[in-house]
Amino acid sequence: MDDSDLMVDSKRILIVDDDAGVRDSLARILRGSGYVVEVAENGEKGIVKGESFHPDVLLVDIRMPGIDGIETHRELHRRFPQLVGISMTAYASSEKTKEAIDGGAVSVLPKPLNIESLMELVQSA
Amino acid sequence: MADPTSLIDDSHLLRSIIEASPAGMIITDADGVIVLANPSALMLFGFEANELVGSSVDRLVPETHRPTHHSHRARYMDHPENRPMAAGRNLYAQRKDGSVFPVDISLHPIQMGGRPMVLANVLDATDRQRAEQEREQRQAMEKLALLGQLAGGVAHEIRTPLCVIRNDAYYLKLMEDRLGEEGMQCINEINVAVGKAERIVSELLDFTRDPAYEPVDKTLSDLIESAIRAIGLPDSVSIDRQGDHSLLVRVDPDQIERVLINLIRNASEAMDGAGVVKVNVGSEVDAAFVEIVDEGPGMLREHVSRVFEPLFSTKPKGIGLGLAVSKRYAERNGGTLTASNLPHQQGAQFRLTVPLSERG
Repeated sequence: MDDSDLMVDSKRILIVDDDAGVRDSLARILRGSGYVVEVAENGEKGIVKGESFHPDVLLVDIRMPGIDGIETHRELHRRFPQLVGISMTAYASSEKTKEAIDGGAVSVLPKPLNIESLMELVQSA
Repeated sequence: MADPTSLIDDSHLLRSIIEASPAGMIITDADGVIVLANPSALMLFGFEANELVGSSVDRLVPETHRPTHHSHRARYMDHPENRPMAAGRNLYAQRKDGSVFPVDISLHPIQMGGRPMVLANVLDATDRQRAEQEREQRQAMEKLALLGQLAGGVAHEIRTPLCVIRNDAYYLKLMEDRLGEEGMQCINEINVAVGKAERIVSELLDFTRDPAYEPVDKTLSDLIESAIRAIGLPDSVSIDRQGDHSLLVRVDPDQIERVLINLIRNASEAMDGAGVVKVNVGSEVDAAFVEIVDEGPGMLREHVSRVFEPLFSTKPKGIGLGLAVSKRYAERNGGTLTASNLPHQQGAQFRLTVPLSERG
């Protein structure tokens, strides 16, 4: 295993989603692919967890009660400028999508997710 | 003071009442010859005084209805009775200048000089019909606004569990060697089912929001073939391509592909999944057309005008938004979408037009 493989394998991913099923199922897939994964159930907890976890990738639901995904990403990105944000949404509002992209998300994935697309994004992060 | 009943017998008074009536009053004999038309009737139909008396009442009937009006009249004279004005009957009349307008008519058998006559009261129904149309449109808009709110909520609530199902199916699929062939088949079925549910939700959302319109130049062939691939038609359905599929059109490809998917899928389903769907392509002045023709039984006559109504569906499983969305997309792209039946129950035809590219 050379250095680049090592870097890919140790990539740290923080999943923030208020739906337990989405969180856990994504965590299972990503851990199965060798990533280090942490989960949080809302924006506030995500920001707290992010500070100690130092994620490389943030996978965050846009619409959540309290601090939403866009704000969560903005906050964590301020502390970790290298953070790659991937937003997820079950809504189809192009306004929110634009807001997420403007906020620095590399992509906004519609739910249900196309996992192949997600894996490509995570690998290239 | 005179006895009121004796006043009614006063023919001068009766004439004054008839002439003052705001309703058009026309009296015809048993053969349909006009013997009296009051000023309101003359004004309604655009005639001068005495122009109508002596001519057939058929003259006031739209030309297209005249051939059958004679038999309607004869039937009425066989069984004359008071027939009140009824909304929903949608009657039309023709003015002297040939213009046709909606009317409400009541009929009353009367006796004049011992002969059977018919009194017709005629009112211009233009305002009533317009008000009704406006009310219907308003109700449709309200229905739509409510549907929009519902759709947004439903979309989120359904997409989230769908996301979990698809994620888990993906994870299970990674364990192919432990699942075996049957297990893998199950995973595929789960993915197909999630895709279907996702489609329903998207359709609901498509209908309730105003889609962005991003036109590019595309050949019809690109759009049609991509739609056919997306549907995944059964082997029992074949496509008969006619006309010049290489025509270049200017459309939002996602939207027009969705329209074609809906039309071709409907055509396949109308034939119970077996037969030939004809995809006939051509061009008019500055538009291209695509006709999708199936070999099914055709639509019921009363359904033809309703197939594009939101929530109208003849399918046991449909929610009735596919064609409504398709029409909206067609119009959004500067085109049209119309439905008709081929003669002799040879199937239904949907005709989509879209603008030709200026690059031709």
